[in-house]
Amino acid sequence: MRGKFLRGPTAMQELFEPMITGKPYPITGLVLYGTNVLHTVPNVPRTKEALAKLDFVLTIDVLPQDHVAWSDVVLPEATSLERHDDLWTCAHKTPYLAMREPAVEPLYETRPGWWIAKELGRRLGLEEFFPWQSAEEYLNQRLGSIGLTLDQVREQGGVVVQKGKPYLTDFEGGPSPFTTPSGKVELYSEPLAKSGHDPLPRYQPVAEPPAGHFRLLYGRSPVHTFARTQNTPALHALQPENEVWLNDVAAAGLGIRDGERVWLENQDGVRSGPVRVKVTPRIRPDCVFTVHGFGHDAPGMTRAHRRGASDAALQTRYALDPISGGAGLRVNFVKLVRER
Amino acid sequence: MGARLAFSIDLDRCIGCRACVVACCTGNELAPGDAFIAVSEVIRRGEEGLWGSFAHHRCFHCAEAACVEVCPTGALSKWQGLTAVAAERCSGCGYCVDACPFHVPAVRDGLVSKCVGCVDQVQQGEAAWCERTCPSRAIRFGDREALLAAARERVQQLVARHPRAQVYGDAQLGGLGLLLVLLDRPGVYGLPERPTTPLLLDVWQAAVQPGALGLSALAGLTMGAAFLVARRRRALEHEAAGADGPAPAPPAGKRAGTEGGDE
Repeated sequence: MRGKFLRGPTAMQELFEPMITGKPYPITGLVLYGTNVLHTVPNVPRTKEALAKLDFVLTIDVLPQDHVAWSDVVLPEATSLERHDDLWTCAHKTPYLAMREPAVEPLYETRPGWWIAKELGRRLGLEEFFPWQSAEEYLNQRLGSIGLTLDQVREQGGVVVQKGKPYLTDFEGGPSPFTTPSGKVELYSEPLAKSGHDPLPRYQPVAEPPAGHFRLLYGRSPVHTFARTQNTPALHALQPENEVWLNDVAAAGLGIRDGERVWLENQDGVRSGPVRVKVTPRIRPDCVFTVHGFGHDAPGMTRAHRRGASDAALQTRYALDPISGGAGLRVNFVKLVRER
Repeated sequence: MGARLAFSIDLDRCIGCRACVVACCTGNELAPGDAFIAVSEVIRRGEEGLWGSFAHHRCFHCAEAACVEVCPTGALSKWQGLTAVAAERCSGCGYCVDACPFHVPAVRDGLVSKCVGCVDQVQQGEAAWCERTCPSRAIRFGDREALLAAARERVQQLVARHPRAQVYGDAQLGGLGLLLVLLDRPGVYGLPERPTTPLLLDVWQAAVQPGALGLSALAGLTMGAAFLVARRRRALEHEAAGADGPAPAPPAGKRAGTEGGDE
């Protein structure tokens, strides 16, 4: 799929069209590991069509989330407190690496992700790619490449922080870390101009909401992480469902009161909710806002099941950036329909 | 008795993430639905435009603690400035619920529920759960004098941006064991400027503790108190039935400014 966009590998949402059309080449199998594609990828109807058409879907997850029901085989993974994971490495301003070790043994028939990967490799005849017996052995070998051992990382509390060198002066004499022609941060890009793109990004007007509709904005609350934590007891207790923020003046115009429950219905007739209205001066009158990650359909998500609305379900359309392939999701419009 | 201990919360640093709530609930192994801390949004639209902050509803560890005064079993007591809880001694009478000027304690499953100051942990040299987890270091715990000095210094820095910034808890009720760096007047956060102990406590201290009245008066007072407690519990159950979240919220009348509410 590389090549459809100017820079970088194809964004995830562009992988689903080929699963349906077989073009530019067929995709017939899918392994989903820790990714709830029905909450993280726009155009859910298309995702479901693709999942139904694939020959084989394998899901590895810690929770019986929405997409698990679309799988041929489910391998339940041990939770983060029950497993080793690969090193977490972060190369930002202050580079660090972190390790994860199990606090308790896995419960039930769950297995750590590393074990699942190694065993799949062994049983598929790919044993040579997993030349280690345990997670500790693998981690020690990886840490060894920078002169560390697992025990040393443990002694430092599981996190090793290295003072960063984020400034260009640190690279004096060596090659610039920027791969631009000038070796600097470029606001005006010749390579973009040569490839027929706008060398200096200009604002391009976006479609305005049709009458009676609001632009659907989404974001996060500090309580929940993506669509992963809505079923976690302590966090569910703090925020069991999302709300839809509605401008106070717009609410008065619609006769909608704070706390009323409404369905959100988008421009393509897709509904999500019902969800409680939060009337607030903190949002523009032409937009509504909701916290991402709610509106889980799977009955196995016992607490989060059908609580709140799913912004992902309402994002049946998206805009594509031709340079990066990134998806702009705030191009969907919803109207508020009273619960009854 | 050593130095007086206290908590402080800098509301300019608080990001409202409620990690303190989760750390408190899990660290203290609270029953599902129970919580010692509640954090709520305070949003106002005033002459300076939109303004927002977070209100923390939790035990203030008063020096003159009305809850300790009325507790008939010694379940509530003072320890180095903190209002400690010995739940095994609690009879569930609920006197503390009515006596608290901040409406903090609740009775859950027949026992008092309020911030225990992590006294057990502190006695082992550990920090309180909320302080340990606060990612923006808004919550501090330690020597009250040092925290008060730091809070006053912080206010000096904040007044340029927040002209009404102030320390809350320096003098109220003998000095509170929870110092707040507020960005506006206490009323904006739903806090009383001058918290007072309720009439019931005055009666208790004046009439019952000196033993001036006979048993019949005590019985009468107890019945009266029981009536008040029962009435309050009914009201709380009413609230609980209507509320979604299980976190103890301040009573509606005391709740900090709601969305869009002008001054």
